Amino acid sequence: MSFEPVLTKNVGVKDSQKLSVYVERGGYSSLPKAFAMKPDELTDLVKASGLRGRGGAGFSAGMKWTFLPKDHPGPIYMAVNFDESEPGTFKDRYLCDHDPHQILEGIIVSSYATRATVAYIFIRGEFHLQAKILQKAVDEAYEAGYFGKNIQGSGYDLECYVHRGAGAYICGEETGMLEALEGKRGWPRIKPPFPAIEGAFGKPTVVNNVETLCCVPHIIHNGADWFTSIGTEKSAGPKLYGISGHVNKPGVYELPLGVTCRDLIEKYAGGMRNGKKCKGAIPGGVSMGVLHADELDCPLDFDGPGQRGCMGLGTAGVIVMDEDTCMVSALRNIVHFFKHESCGQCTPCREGSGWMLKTLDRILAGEGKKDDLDNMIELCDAQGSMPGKTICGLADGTAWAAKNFIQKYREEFEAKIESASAVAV
Amino acid sequence: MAWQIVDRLKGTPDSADKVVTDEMRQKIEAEFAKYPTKQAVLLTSLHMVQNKYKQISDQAIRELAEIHEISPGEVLDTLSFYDMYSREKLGKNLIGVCVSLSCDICGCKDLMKKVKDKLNIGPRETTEDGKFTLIPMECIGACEMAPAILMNEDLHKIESVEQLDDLIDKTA
Repeated sequence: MSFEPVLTKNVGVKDSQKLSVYVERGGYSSLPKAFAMKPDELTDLVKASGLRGRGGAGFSAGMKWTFLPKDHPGPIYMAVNFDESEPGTFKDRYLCDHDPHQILEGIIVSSYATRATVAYIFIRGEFHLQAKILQKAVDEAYEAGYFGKNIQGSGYDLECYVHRGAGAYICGEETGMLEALEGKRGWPRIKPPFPAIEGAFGKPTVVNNVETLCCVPHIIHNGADWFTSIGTEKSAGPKLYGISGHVNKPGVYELPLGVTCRDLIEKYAGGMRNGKKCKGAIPGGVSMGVLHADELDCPLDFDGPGQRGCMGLGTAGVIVMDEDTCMVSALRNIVHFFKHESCGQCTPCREGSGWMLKTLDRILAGEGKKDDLDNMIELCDAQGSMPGKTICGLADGTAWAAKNFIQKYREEFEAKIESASAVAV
Repeated sequence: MAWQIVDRLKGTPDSADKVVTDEMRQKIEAEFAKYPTKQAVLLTSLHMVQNKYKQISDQAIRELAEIHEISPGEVLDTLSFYDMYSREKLGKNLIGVCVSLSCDICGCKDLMKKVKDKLNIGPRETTEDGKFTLIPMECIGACEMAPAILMNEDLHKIESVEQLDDLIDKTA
């Protein structure tokens, strides 16, 4: 099947970051089309396209917009989630590096559709270069009349500001991000109220991921049917897959949703490094769990990984591990990440991740106990101690990853513990 | 935490040795127009102070509290949450080694060891001359460059420990 890149079509074009180049290549031309429509018509179009959020949750973008209160006196805020922090994920950085104006065009039309009058782009603090690229693009766009009052004579006003985070994974959780936007600790809020009702500064707020917003101008241009013709029935559209780890050509690949993990590794990422065999692959950020080597024919759409015990597609940031990888160490790395990034509000998450890290450290130090694995599974199970008992999904991600690794590589975990017991005796 | 802070901080708002310079203050105040509250600019202000002084001192906390019209406790509450701010003075250059999964399986431990061997500093330690601090970082969003480091504000794909060696020499 031939597939023309959509979101990455400007990658490799000289000076693709510049507004003039972007406009020359058809950029910002969705604006007149959008402004000719009513905001609700635009929302319906996005709903019809089946566009699902690219930030990890995969919720219908158009549907999310309809949760905003009708006839609100304003202001309504657009909060752009560019906190990209899930290990294995670097697609939004790639979009910003190569085509920042595409992000801005997406912001303008999506803000118009949701009647937002101020857009805050929340970019993670470690993206120093990207914050500069983005700020420059915003400045250029203001100068050209794409932001500010009466955009392109439409009568629509929109301000756009770049807001830098300061190093906290949890600020990618939408309400944690809103707290950080307000200058506070990035502590996720108890929901409801959801951001659409009470978001930033107590006002209705739309929160969308960078890649999600980038899809919107293309949908306006080419229509909902075009979008649904790409990908699979329930997972429409093009998708940026980030692939890293033990492959020959790590990077970002734009493909229709539904490519198999095996094809992604073999056909696009140049196969396994040093001729090694694949032992497993994280489908979409470490919180999603892991696909065993036997499961690589899994289509990477919104349903595929979930049917194989993973939590879902997540961010489609694939991490490939070869046969020499110690899965106990890999899990230890993941749990360490979550322990470090747990915001500390909820006891099951704060303490649970700590217990698990201690247990894994003990196993790796050769002091594992026979019931360690069952205890960890109990901690991670739906009826156990961590998932579903916390304000946000961080604990669920930790638990899911741990349960998945232990269940799919149980023999390796047991061997590690048994070899330790043998030594101890 | 908030209720503990006021008496324990060193420095006073009217201290002669102001940490937030007039220029910084103007920049901060120019940001206020973008938000409905002054507190919303706090992360930006903290970045400014951290960049200039490599730390957020007690004096800075007091001054920022006054500028943002919040209590010193609220400034501390926010800053203590984020990895990029430090109350301890960090080195002039920050070697941020990504330690998350992609970088781990591609050899970040070798990079940590190289820094230890060359500069004799472990995680979050600073060289005696104050030139470098080693910061282990959680995923920096550059997994295709694994093992990746953030030398101050610049991303690098490190293909060999010798390359890291050169980079440290050049940065110093």
